[in-house]
Amino acid sequence: MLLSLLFLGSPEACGADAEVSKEYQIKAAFLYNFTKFVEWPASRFADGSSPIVIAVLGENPFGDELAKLVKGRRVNGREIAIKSITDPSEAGAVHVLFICARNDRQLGPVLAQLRSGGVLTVGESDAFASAGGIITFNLVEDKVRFEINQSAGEQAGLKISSQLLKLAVPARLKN
Amino acid sequence: MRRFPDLPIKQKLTLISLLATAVALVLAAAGLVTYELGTFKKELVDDVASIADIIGYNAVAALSFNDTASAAETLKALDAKPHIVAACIYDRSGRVFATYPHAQPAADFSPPPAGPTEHFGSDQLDLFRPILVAGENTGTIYLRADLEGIRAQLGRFALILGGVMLVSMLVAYWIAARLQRVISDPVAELVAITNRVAAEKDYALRAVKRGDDELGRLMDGFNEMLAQIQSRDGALQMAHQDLERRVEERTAELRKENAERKRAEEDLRAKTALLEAQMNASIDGILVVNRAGEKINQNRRLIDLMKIPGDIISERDDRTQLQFFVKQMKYPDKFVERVDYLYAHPGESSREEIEMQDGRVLDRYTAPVIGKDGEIYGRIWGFRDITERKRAEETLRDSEERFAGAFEHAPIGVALVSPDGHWLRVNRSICGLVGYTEAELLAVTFQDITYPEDLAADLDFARRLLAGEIRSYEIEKRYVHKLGHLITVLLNVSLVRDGRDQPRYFIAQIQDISARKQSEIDLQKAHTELVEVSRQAGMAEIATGVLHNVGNVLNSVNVSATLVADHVRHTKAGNVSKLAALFAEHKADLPAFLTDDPRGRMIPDYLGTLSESLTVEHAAILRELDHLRTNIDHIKDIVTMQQTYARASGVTETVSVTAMIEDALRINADSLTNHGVTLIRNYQICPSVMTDKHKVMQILINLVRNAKQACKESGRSGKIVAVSATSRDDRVKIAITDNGVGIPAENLTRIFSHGFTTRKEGHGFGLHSAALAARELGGSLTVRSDGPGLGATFVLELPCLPPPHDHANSVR
Repeated sequence: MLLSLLFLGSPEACGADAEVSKEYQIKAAFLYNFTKFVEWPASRFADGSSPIVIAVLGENPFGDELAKLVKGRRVNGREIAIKSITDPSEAGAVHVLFICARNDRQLGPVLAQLRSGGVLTVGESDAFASAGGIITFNLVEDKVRFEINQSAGEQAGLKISSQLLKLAVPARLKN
Repeated sequence: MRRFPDLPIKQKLTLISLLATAVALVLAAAGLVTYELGTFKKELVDDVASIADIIGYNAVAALSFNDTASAAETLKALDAKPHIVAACIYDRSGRVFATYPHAQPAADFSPPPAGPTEHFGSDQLDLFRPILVAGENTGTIYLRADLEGIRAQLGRFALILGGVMLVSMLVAYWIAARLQRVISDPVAELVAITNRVAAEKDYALRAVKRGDDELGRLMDGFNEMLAQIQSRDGALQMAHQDLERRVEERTAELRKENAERKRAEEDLRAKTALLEAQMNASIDGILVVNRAGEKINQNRRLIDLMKIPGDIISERDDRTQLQFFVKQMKYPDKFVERVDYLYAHPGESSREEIEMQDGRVLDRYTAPVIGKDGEIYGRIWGFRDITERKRAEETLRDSEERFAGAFEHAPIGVALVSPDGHWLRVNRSICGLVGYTEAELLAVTFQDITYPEDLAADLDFARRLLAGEIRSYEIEKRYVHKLGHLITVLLNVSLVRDGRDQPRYFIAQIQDISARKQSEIDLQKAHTELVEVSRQAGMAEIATGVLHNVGNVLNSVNVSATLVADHVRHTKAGNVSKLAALFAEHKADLPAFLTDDPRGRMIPDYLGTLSESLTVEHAAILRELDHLRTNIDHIKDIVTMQQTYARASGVTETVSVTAMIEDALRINADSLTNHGVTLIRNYQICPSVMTDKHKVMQILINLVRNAKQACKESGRSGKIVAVSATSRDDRVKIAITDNGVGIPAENLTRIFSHGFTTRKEGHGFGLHSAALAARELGGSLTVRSDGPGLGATFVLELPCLPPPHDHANSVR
């Protein structure tokens, strides 16, 4: 509870402000933590030490928060690489792709392209969810929570840990 | 509880076996328990650690995604593990993320240590485990388990162990109790034999050997010892019997000796007692000293004689006592020299007299103490106090000398005369008296020189003296002087008898009374003259008394006269003439003056008062004149009395005693009143007396006056003079008592002497003449006083009838 209070922040659309909001700091941490509970197909890595690549498509609301967060940390022996991409075609080469709510208009083509490409797509809007995004952030009682589209995940060839699934807000309740 | 060393060997052996078994079992049990405890702990840690891993794994997502509710849910699963009492999940930075039970506050949990740890407390296990996800440390889980499980396990284990030990001990006891007999039975048998040998003294007993171990050898040794004792005991028995016989013989001898000794001792005691009694009964001080100079015995008398103090009495060496004794002597050196000589010559005896410093004379005797065999054992000393004897001898010698001197030089003639009349010794005075020499006198008898006319009477007296009818006699007789004339002597003769009451000699004292005869005649004449002179002196004394008494009465006369003069001087009679003048002035209008004039109107009242006053004055003057007359009568009587003395005979008349006392008091009434003296009268009914009233009055006035004077001089308050009259056996006693200055004891006898007075202005005739007068009346005047300040009582005693008239008596 103490922690949740610390994470409290005014819900704000992603933007390129110099000061990253509390909400996005949490979302950045969550992005990192997701990598621990998701298993990618072996084909997605060149070898055992290839890094896990987290990419932000288009506008980056995290600033350099993500880069600071992952620096020096390893998940299952892999380093974490942060990338900003603008071209949706580049998205197929990453492992986690975050799409800011402001980039909603690019959603359809991007998500369709990545449907079975072994990429964990993470968004933050209803549109993203309905467009077939795998994990969608939402705010429950001012706390950052998320829902998981399990079938989309399976389609993308990802194994999502039951522990993570357990924590997710059921999609139905949202609608 | 018996001490271990006192326990029988049987029990000792059993106890030792049991103790060894018990120690072994306890050690084994301790090892087992220690091991089992370690195992239990390890199992518990494994169990709790596995739970921690499971919970940590289940909570990792919740931790990663900050879902505390989910974490708490996960911890809730611990409800299924009752021995986990508390749990906590910390986040990566060590802050408490979730707790179990849910209500447990975060502050109850301490910060997690780095890395996995487990720690056993007294009743709990604290276990920390890191939570890893994807190889990364995400947080820490903490579990607290109670130790109930271990306790329960240990309890069961202890129960089993206890049971096993109990059974083991029972078995061990059963085995020990059987096996110890191998050792204890032979020992018990040995002990039994020892006891029998000790009790029965039967040294023929032997122990039966069972094996050839140490016990077997011990029995061999024991048997051998018994055999030796047996043989020695026989020898000892014989020696003992011999000894007993000898002791019996010796005892009999001793008993006999003892009886003899006792008899001898009793003899000795009796002899000693006799000797002691003899010594102590002796009037001599006796000291026995042995040859070593030690005191053997000394009697009480010696101690008294030498005045030996207690500490020296107990001294054994005679020297100390000797030194003490010698110090009391006049010539100690002489004595010491003598003693030294005697001790150096133990066989000698000697006797001497010792003069002591305190004047005593001791007779000292000493002789050697010689036994029957002629051996000298020591020396006996005897001391006798011969002071009295010495003194008596000296006194006798002195008195003999004195007597001889007195005899020889006596101013009267003294002679010893044999019963037949021969002069045995004569002194110088007799020789001078009768004119013979001593030798001439001793050749004749007293009969030879006695005047023949006086011889018969002298011889008669001498015969009666010799017969014992009289003790001495005194006669006047005459001797014939050698020259032929007669000498008158007063002869006093007594007889001296010897021890058998036989007459030895007369002692005659012969006094020449020729001269005395003449002086007797002269004396007679002088006496007659003296009587005359005395009488004249007595008359003078009476005259002085009379004057004294007249003087006393004149005092009262003077007072009365002064009072009358005062009354006349202050009389109100003068006022009558003033009245007369007033009347003369108003002669013309007398009635008007008496009725109208205010002064005139007062006159009748004034006249009444004046007449009353004059009456009182008149009465007073008459009273004083009466006193005056009484006093003058008294003076007249005194003068008459002097005339009576001149006639040497008083006029006797019958008078009332109380009337006389009252007269005497009245004469002194004024001065008694003036000095505030209270009079107390106490008269019994007294018969009238036939006496010379004026002499009695003279005495009484004197006594009352003296009593008053004594009161006045004392200056005290409450002055009292008490007068009483009593009668008994035809005699009347008048006592006058005062509480004045009193009379010192030394003055009581002198107070009636002529000229004695204690008053400055007194002339000392009062009491002297009063006493004389009282005697003249056949009565007496006596005084009694307890001392100065205590008052005095004079008592005049008178016969009711006058004494027979005798002129000479009244003068003397």
